[in-house]
Amino acid sequence: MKIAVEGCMHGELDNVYATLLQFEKSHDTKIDLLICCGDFQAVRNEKDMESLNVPRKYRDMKSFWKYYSGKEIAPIPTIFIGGNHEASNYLWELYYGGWAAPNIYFLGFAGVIKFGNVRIGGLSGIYNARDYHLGHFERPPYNESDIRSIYHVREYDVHKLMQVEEPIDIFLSHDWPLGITDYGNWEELLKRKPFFENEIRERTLGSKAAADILEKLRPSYWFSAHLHCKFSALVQHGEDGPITKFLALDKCLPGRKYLQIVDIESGPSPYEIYYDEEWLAITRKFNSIFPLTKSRADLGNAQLDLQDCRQWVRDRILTRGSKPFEFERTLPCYDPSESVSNSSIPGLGRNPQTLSFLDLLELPYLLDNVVGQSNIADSPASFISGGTSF
Amino acid sequence: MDEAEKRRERLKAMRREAVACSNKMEMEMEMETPTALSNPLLLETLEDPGGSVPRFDFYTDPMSAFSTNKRTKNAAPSPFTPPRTASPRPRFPSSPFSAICPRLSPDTRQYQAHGIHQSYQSLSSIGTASPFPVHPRMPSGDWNNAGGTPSYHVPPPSGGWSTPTGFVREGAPTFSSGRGRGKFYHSPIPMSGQGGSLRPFSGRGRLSNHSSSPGSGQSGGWVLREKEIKSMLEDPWKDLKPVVWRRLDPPDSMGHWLPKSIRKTVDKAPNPPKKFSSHSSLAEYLAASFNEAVDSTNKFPST
Repeated sequence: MKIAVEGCMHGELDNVYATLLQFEKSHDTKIDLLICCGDFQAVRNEKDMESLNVPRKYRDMKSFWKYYSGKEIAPIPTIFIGGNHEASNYLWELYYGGWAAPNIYFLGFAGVIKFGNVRIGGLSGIYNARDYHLGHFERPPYNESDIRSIYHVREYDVHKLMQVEEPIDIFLSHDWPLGITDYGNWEELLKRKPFFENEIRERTLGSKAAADILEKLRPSYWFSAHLHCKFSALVQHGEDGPITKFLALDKCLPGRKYLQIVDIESGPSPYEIYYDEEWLAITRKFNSIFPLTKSRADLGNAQLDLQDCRQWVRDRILTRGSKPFEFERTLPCYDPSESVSNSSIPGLGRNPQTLSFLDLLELPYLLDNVVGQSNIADSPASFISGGTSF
Repeated sequence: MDEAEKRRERLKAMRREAVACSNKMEMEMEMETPTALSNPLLLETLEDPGGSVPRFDFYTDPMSAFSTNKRTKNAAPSPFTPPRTASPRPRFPSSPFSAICPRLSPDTRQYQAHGIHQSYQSLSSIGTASPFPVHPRMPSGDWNNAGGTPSYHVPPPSGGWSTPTGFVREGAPTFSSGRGRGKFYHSPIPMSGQGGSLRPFSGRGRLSNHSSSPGSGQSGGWVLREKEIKSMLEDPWKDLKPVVWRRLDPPDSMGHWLPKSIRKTVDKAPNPPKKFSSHSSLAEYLAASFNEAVDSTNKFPST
């Protein structure tokens, strides 16, 4: 399986796809998957711009809206995670992951899926210790503070990823795992980026959460972006343990090292995206403690047994199948020929894909819970215990 | 002489205006940064009684870093360049698509009530099914079907890029042997070597309809130069030796923060330059880099 890995997308879907198609043609090959490591900018319309943490003067529709609307179709199956410049309102709708556009799949705030038989995990956002232990309290429309914290990695999502036991082939994070520079040619990196020196020396360059996940999951590959430069590293887990090949890529601009082609051993094509059974079980188990306010998640209070969840999910998938629910367009898309008042575009709604996903797992919808209005009767724990799941 | 004096007066007035404008911008930027962000890692130590004051506040928010950094520097000159285009939107030819993807006002949309909250109903289910053909390499699931509420079903297999089977059953082939199995792709065809010029190219399918205007679909792309193709294809790990992972501890007083395998070289390594470019911090670098990306993509439109 040939995978194209890309650093920050910054909404340049048109150019990246066209460049890859050009590469395919000139090299008489076929790329099976495009992986994007964040800053995707899945902006559907003008209103989504209000949730994009970018200075107003730099806000630009870019090209995602064409793929969302159906005007263009992604020519290569695409998987992406979120970074720190995202239409956070849209990604929040798809918190558990889903099709952001036809053939373009968002891994979720944290997620694991299978592409063919290659298992891909990811963590969206960037690390900030100040917000790490908070719950997901931000709701659109975001104020000036929340728009800068919505993309900060949360302990809850990391904890879920830390429950994964089965091997991961590829893991994605927007920012680099803390300390990863120790495992590559840091001297050469400092020649190119001397202003990294202090952070490297003081051991503050990168995400502590990502480092914890790297240490636990030991994926074969780890791809990142964020720092806008290409850097590779080789991590060995234990003296004779498996190796993680780390690669960070540049932002996508002409002449920059923003693409890498990697050939992964896999089963025969065609490949498709499937839900991951273990991840569904983890999601089911921990949804009952989904922190929806600033309060820290009570991680020890997830009462369901993971193995029970696994069996439950397995039975469910046998009935329904493990293909993700289909893409559904839910909002009007950008029209370059028309200027539309943002007030005419509806705000946060429940994405049908998310509703179907939660229905599959028999979990309640929580993403529009208003901060401070936690309804105990409607809590996920009571939902499950009162349901027919066990 | 009168003319020269008038010109001087005008210049003075312009300077005064610029200073006033600059001060106003600083105030606005302060307002946009309601709380100082803190160094995430140092903050952890703040939880300890003996924690120190964060030194570096903005690793995770380069934009805040920029604004506050400027503030602390008392409006130091910005190292960043403004975007080259004033228009926030790309220029498009008259879009035939606008007639196909109608703008819907809220009252044309339907919602399913879920308590006090709204639930989207797919636009595709209210008469806007996409007229665009499904790409041959796209999974054949009818993503835009008019099903309204999705149900648990497996789309019937159909031709095209994929043949959805839908189910992954217990005992079905699952990945288990995929550890460290990656290999590097080597092109069977010599690189074309386009000499480093940003020439337009013709591709297949939609690519053949290339246009010189930005934002015109997949008709452009950036021409890959030989150096870039080489970088894409070469094994980025070929010159590296694996280093055993060790959990990061706080730096000790000796500054021995590198793995043993490369620690020996650190003393020999030349000291990194004390002055580097105009970016004084990683956060500023990130902010500038993002702005550069915006600026440069406007500068390099699709071919």
